[in-house]
Amino acid sequence: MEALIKHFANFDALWNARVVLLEGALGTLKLGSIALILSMLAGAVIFAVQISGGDRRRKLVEWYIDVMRAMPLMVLLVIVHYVIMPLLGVRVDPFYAAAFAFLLKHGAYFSEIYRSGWLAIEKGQILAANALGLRQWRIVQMVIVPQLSLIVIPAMTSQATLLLRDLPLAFAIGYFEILTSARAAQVFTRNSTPLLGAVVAYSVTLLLLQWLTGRLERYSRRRLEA
Amino acid sequence: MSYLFQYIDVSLLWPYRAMLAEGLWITFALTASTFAIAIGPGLLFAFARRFGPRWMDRVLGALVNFCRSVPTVLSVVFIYIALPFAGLIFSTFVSVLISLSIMQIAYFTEVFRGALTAVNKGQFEAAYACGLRTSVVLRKVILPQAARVAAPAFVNSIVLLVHNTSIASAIALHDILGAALTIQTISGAPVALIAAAAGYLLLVLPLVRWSRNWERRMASAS
Repeated sequence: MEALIKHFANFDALWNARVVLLEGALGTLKLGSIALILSMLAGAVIFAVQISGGDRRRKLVEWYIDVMRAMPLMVLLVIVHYVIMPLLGVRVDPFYAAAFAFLLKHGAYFSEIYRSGWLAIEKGQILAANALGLRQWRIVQMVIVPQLSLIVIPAMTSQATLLLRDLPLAFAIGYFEILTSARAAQVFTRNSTPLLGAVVAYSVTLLLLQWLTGRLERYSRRRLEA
Repeated sequence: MSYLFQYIDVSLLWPYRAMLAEGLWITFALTASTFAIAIGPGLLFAFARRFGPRWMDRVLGALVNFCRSVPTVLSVVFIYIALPFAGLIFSTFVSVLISLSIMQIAYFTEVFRGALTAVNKGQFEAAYACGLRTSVVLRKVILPQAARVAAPAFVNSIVLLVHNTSIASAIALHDILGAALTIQTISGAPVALIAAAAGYLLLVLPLVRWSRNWERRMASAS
């Protein structure tokens, strides 16, 4: 028991590794925020491309989304880092590669979320609002956004949780984030507490986000039924 | 221009065919054994959550949420390089297998529970009122309805399982991706990585397309 505590709940080891761990956490935060923003924007672009064109373009975008759903993120990260980035002649930096890979994959998921929200709005409402003489931006503001946000926000929170959960994969291409730093800390402190700390920190954060998603889902279901 | 050929020249892979075949085998073995391990407990927990007492639903629900909140790559690394400090030493393959199985049990529980809740309770009552035995009720009444609803989610959870096997390469277990990375390091030819990606697409894309079409059919049917 004592050995277990020494190896898995050793606060001296955690304290000795504080600089590395903090840097790893910052790396995760940096990639997480950039990847989230880029994916949300990319999703909007993909969605716009998909609904603005004809049948053929819609099909093409659908294939893109399905390829992204079929491709493991790990493989995508490696391909972007070792194949696509050198081909594009971009400076080889795991941060850019990881952000680009997340944008490609999670952008596809976000576009599906926007589309589901779009499909859920009854188009007759827009016609009705037009007939009432509401101006375009008033329709967006008073008819579309209130309904769309109820449908889309819970799904987006859930997708953001999934994105956050995928972040440690970036260590596979050598990006310095929580998992990389916890491993490094484990090597130089010869102690597993930093790794356990990373697992605990991650699961607490994600559990909170899952709880928030559940609350949002219940709230919007109540509002949509009312 | 000729340097572009190393991206698509498959003949560069011929000397490494044994490595690739082994990688393919590891990926397949991981997927199949995780599936075999997880399907039973997944079904069991789903039934326990649906028909068991309230507290069991609560406990299992919390467990599932916890399992889903730990990134698989973290748990793989933790099992492989931290648990030996506690005297538990596993090979790379078993480490990945444990981690994937826990994850997959959680997913399967969710999928099957969703399927069971989609079937109205009245269906059970009606079937029992007709004098059918439990086994017949499940097989002839519940399963056909639940399967139709849960099929896409089930297929998606298998897609996720195949995806997660690629995490094996993070602890130097040579699955398809691991083999491709090694070949790329030895030969410098990126075609190995492209071949690996194409391999995943070949395996997984049909599943994704199928579940999309199934969902569309279900939507237009209702």
